[in-house]
Amino acid sequence: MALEFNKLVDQLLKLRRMLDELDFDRSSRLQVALERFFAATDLDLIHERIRLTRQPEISGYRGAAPLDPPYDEIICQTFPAPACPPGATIIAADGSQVYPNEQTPLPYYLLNTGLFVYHHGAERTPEQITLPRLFFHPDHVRDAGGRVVSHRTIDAQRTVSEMHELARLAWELRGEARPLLALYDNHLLFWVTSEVGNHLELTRSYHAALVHLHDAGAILAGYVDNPMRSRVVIRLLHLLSIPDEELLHADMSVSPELEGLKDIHLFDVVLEPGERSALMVQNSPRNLQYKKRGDSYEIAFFYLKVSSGYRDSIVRVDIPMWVARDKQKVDELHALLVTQCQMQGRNPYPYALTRADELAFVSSKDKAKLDEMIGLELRSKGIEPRYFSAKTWGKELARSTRRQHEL
Amino acid sequence: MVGQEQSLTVGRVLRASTRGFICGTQSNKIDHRHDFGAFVSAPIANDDSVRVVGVIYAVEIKDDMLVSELVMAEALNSNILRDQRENRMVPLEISVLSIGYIYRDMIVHSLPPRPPMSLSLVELCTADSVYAFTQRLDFLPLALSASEVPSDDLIGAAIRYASYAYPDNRRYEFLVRCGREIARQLSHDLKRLEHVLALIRP
Repeated sequence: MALEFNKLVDQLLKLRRMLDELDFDRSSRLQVALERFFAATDLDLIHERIRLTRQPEISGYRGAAPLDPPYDEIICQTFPAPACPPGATIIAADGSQVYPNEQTPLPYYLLNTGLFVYHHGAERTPEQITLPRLFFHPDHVRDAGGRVVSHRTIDAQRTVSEMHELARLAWELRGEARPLLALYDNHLLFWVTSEVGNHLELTRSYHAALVHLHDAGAILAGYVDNPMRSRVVIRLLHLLSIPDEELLHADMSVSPELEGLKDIHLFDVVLEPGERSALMVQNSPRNLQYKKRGDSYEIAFFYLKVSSGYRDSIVRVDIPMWVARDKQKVDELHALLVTQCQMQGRNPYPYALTRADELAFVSSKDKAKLDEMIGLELRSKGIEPRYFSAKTWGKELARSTRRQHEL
Repeated sequence: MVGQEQSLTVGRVLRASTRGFICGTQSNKIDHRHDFGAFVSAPIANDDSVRVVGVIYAVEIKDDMLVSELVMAEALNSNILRDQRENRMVPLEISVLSIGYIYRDMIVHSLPPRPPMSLSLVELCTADSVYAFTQRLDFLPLALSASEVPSDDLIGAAIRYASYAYPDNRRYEFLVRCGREIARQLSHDLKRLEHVLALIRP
C-alpha cells in the first residue's frame, strides 16, 4: 500500500517549525576556530601541550597532533599542489560483499575486490582486475557457536582482503613507473573488536599487508571522501585554548564556542583548490598501537581541497608514517590526487577509485544471478534452495508488482 | 573457420519480435559489421533450420552516468578514453528490421514464423547469401512499409550494401532492377520515389 502522505502533512509542518528554530549559522563559531587556527604557529608550545595530554592523569584527548620533529609542519600552514610527476603507477582498490542469508539451506557470502591500475603519463590502457571469492563451507560461514557470521566480521574480512590484494599488486608492479601509488578507499586506522570472529588474525593480516606495501616502496593512501564526522583539528584548537591550570579536569571533546564545527568546515575556508593542510597525526590509543608495531606504521593525515573546476570538496588523506616522513612522496601523492580528481568531469574524485568501486560493486541483478547458480547446484542434489516461511511468502506476494496467477 | 565465424559476429539478440530484433555487443567491437543497411541473420527460436534475415536500421551507443560526467571534462585524457572504450562494458544496441527468412535453402521474402531467441548469435550475411537473397526484390515492400524505421534511407543503404555482393559487371544492372521495383512500389508518391532513387543512383 502506498504511503498516506496526507497523514504526514502536519508532521512536515512541525519539521519546518523546528528548522526555523535551529541555528544553522556557524559563522561566529567558525570565526573563533579560524582565529585559534591561525594563532597556532608555535610548534614547541603545541608539542608541549600534546605531551601533557599524554600523561596518565590526563586522558580522553582524541584530537590532532603535529608529527614528531623534524617532520612536523606548522598547523596553520597550507601547501599548494606541487608539480605532477611525469610518470606514475596508480593502483586503486575497493571491495564489496554479499552478506549471507540465514533463510537458505546453504548460507554463503561473497567478497569481491576490484583493482584498477592507471599508468599516469604513459599512453597505456588501464588494467582492471576483479577477484570474487565465495565462502560457503560451514567452517567459514558459521562462527564457533554455529551462528552465521556477522556483517561486521564480513566487513572486516573485506577490508583485510582489499589491503592484501592492494599489497600483492603493488609488489607485482614494483618494477613499473615510479612513484607507485596505492589508493585505498577508506581510512587506514583499521580496528576490529573482539566481537569480530578471528579478530586477532585479521589484525595481524592487515598489518602484514601494510608491511608488504612498505616493502614494495608504495605510497599508500587512504582516501576519505566525506570526512563529515572528523573533528580532530577542532579538538586540537579546543585543547590549545584550555588554560594550563584547567588541563587536568578539562573536557577534551566538547567546546561550547566550537560546538557543531567539523574539520571540513574549517578547511573549506582555509584551503584553496588544490591545497593541502599540514601533516598531522591523530592522538588516539588505536594510532598508538599502530606506532608500537613500528614507527613507520603510525597513521598520519592531511586535508586536501580537491577540485574539478566546477566543484570543490574537502577530503582527508590518511598516510602511514613511511610516506609522511618523505617530503617527496607526500608531494607526489598530493599532486597525483589533485590530477586524478580533475579527470572525471564535474565530479572531484580520483578516477582510479571510481573505477575500482565500479569493478568491486555487486549489483542486485548479479546477486540474483549468483543465487540462481547456487540454487541450481542445490536442486541437482534435491535440496530446495530457498525456504519461504509463511510470513516471508506473504510479504513477497503483497509487495510484488505483478499479479500472481499460480494456484 | 573459427576466425571466420568470429569475423561475421554482429552481436547477440537482446529482445525480438517477428518484425525485427535488437542485438547487443560491446562498443569496442563496432566496425563495418554494424553498418547501417548491412544484411544480418540469426537462427529463429527452437529451429536451427530457419534463419531470419534482416537489415540494420539503427546503431545506438548507450551511456551511463560516468560517461555523462566524462563528457563534461574539458580535456578527456587519452588513457580514460581507452579505459572507457576497451575496458568498460559500454553496450551497443543494433536494431534490425526483419525482411525475410531462409528455411533450409529456400528464401522467403516475408516475416519469419517466430522471432529469434534472446542471446542467439547474430551474424553478418556473406556476400553469397546477400546475392542469393536479393535475386528477387520482394523484400522491398516490407522495408518500404516499415513505419518504425527511416525506411527511405534504409532502402537506399541496403541496396547499395547488397550491390557490392554483385560482380562489377552486374552491379549496375542490379541497381537498375531495384530502381524499377521501387518505382512500381512508390508510383503513388513521386516525391518519395525521387528521393529513394537519388539515394541508389550509381
